[in-house]
Amino acid sequence: MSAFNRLQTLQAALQTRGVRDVKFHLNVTPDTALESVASTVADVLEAIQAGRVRPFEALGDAAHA
Amino acid sequence: MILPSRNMVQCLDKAKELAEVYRMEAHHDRSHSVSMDEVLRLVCTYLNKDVQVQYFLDSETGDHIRGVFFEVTGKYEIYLLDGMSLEWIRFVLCKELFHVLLDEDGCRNCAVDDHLREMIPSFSDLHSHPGSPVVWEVLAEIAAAELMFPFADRVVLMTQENVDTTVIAQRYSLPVLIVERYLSDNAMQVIASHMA
Repeated sequence: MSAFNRLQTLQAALQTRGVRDVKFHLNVTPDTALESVASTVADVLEAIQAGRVRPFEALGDAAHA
Repeated sequence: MILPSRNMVQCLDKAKELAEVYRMEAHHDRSHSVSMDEVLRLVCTYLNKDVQVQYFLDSETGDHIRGVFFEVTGKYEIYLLDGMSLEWIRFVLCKELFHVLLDEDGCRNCAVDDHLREMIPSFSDLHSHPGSPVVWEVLAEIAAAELMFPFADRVVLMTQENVDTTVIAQRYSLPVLIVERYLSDNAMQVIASHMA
């Protein structure tokens, strides 16, 4: 299945669970191929949908006055 | 990419608004870099936003993608690439939190494939006029930069000789790439033209 077909399948799953907006912080250059980005995004969305996540913990970056 | 002036002003105003909340409410020694622990706390408590942050685990993805934001019927989910440096975690988290603060109906998009098809070419085309969801990707980053590395500070730095971006990045706890991007002539000119 192409990356864009995978994205369309994922998009339907996201909408089913109430997701109304998706945005990304991408690391791309003018030379990065669209298909490559789409494939990466599909991988990440599949990881999130499959629960391959871990909790965020405090960064400890507050220097208390 | 050409950013609508009205949206630029809106984004910089939102950064100023959060900076003011931070100045009044953060339990933080403000001689240090802006704390993302405190910013997240203020967004969730003071600004009353329901935000869940997690890391996504996928070693196959490299770092083509550093963060993901979902709006789910009034709640927000942020996913950060596991294993990034502290500086990148801080910046990407801040950028995604601005998606929370800038959220409105007109900037939403759930058509991921179309979003990417429009966004990727726009990044390298200085004259492109993408739709709102793509514009807000950039504006959220500009707002994050304004909060963490304010334009006023950058103006002062630009008057100094021998500016060392590595030292500046350490001082603000930011990635060097971000410091270089926002000290560039183009970024300084664009922001200057929209500062009140």
